[in-house]
Amino acid sequence: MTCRFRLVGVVVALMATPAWAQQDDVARLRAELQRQQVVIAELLQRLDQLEKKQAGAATRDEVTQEAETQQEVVNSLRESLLGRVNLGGYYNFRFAADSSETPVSFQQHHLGLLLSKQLRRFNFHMELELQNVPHHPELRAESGDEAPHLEEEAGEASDISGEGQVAVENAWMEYNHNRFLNVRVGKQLAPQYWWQNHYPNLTLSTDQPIYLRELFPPELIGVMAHGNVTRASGESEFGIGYKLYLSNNQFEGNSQRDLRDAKSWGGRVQVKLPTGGALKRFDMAADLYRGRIALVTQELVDDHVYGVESQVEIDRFQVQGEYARGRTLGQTRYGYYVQPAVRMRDDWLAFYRVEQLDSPRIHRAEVRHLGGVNFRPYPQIAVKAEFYRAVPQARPFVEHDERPYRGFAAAAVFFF
Amino acid sequence: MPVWRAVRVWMTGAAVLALASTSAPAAPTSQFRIIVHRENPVTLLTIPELQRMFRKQTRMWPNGESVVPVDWDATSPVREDFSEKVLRRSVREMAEFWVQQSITQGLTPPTTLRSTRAILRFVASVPGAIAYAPAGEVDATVKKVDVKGLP
Repeated sequence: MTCRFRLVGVVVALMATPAWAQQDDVARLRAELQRQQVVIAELLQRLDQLEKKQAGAATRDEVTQEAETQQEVVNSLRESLLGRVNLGGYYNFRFAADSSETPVSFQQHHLGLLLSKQLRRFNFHMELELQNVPHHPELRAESGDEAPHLEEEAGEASDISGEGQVAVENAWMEYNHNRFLNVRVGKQLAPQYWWQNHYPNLTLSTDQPIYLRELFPPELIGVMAHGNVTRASGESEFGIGYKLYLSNNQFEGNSQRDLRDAKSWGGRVQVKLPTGGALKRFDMAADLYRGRIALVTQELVDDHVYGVESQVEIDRFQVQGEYARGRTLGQTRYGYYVQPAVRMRDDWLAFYRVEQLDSPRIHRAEVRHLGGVNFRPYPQIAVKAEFYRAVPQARPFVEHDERPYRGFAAAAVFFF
Repeated sequence: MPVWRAVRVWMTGAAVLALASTSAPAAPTSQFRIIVHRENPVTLLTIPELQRMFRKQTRMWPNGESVVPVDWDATSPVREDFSEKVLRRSVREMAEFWVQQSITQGLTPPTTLRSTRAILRFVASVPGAIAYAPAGEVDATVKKVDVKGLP
């Protein structure tokens, strides 16, 4: 036991450090500590620099957005300085089946290509349209009736020719001097509300009102001046607009006779009533047209048409209606439609339409009721379905007794 | 007389709409500011003037610059707020409006951007630009414009 204590004492004595050696160690430690402090200071400085760099650096999203912003700036400047051609179009496929003589049909109803360009105060707009609707001339031959009403019963079947022809529906250029005066020249749609908005994306029904083609001409080739004056009224405004036009008469192919003949003219006054913030829209308009119209014998006769219309929109509800009355060769014809509609959800709309045509000129008198829905999953896409019932009216100028008929129509529309 | 039937339908519809309008709620305070390029001399606009600019119905500023409206991305809350309070239409209804304008007038909707930073950069870069941004995020690179009648 004593030996063990002696051994430990010797080891401790050997391991013990003298005082002078301890002072050297402290000095070394102090020097090392100072070096470490310098390194830490450098690291802190680098960390600060890195933090500053990180704060200045952008994320990938920010860089992408910045690039997009700059691209939009360039596009905007390019649009302002040089103009940009906008290309679009629409596609409409329709199915119709009813109990009249018109056969059940699939219709590649419209394929439209739109091309437009704005260059500061100038606008150019063009629309090419293809229609491919089954054409059934045998129905007219069987009926022995020269009046084209059977063709018109097929809805828009008489729009162009039906069998896959391409036509220029719109081609105009416009100069926008200011709000009060704009001038548009070329082939353009008639200024009435339905004609201006007759495109399948914009209408709720798959078919036009039956009176439409029988009163105001659908389009004009000529010159139109238009403008408006508005005055702020609270959160909305009161405005009066005008449209005046001079054009060729409505004659298939614009024959030599038409071109030699006096031109047709027309005007429109539209009033935008103040909505007080409660209504979304309250518009009224009156139209006048004086021109020449072609009879089935290809003769041109004087034709005077006037009409009134209104569109009201509040919250989810809207009502629109048009009435027109024309006079040719001492005979009066008239037609109208009224269409209330409701937006049930963002993508669902329902509508009802009552419409009538009384025309001794084409020996047709009919009242039609339509009710249907639209499903619009995107603003560019519409799927429409509707039921309709047409009731021919007894008039002295209607030679054949025609029975009421009902039908169903559906359409799919894509705007691109 | 069948015409009277149509008049009755129209009047009934209009009466329903008039009743519906009485329940319109008051609009809450807007959270955005209208901004233009710093050199634009305009300082005050009305809501109808803003509507016409953002519908591309007014094309030129009084100083001769083209009006270049800039919208927010369709999913942003500030766009919804602006659309309801100034344009009086939902974002969805405005999208339908632009489909109609594209077809009938050949007009395209305003440029859209997705962040305040992008909007500010755009407005600061394009002399005729007009846009809107969250009230607290507008800096001195652009000019704020007051709107008469905006809550």
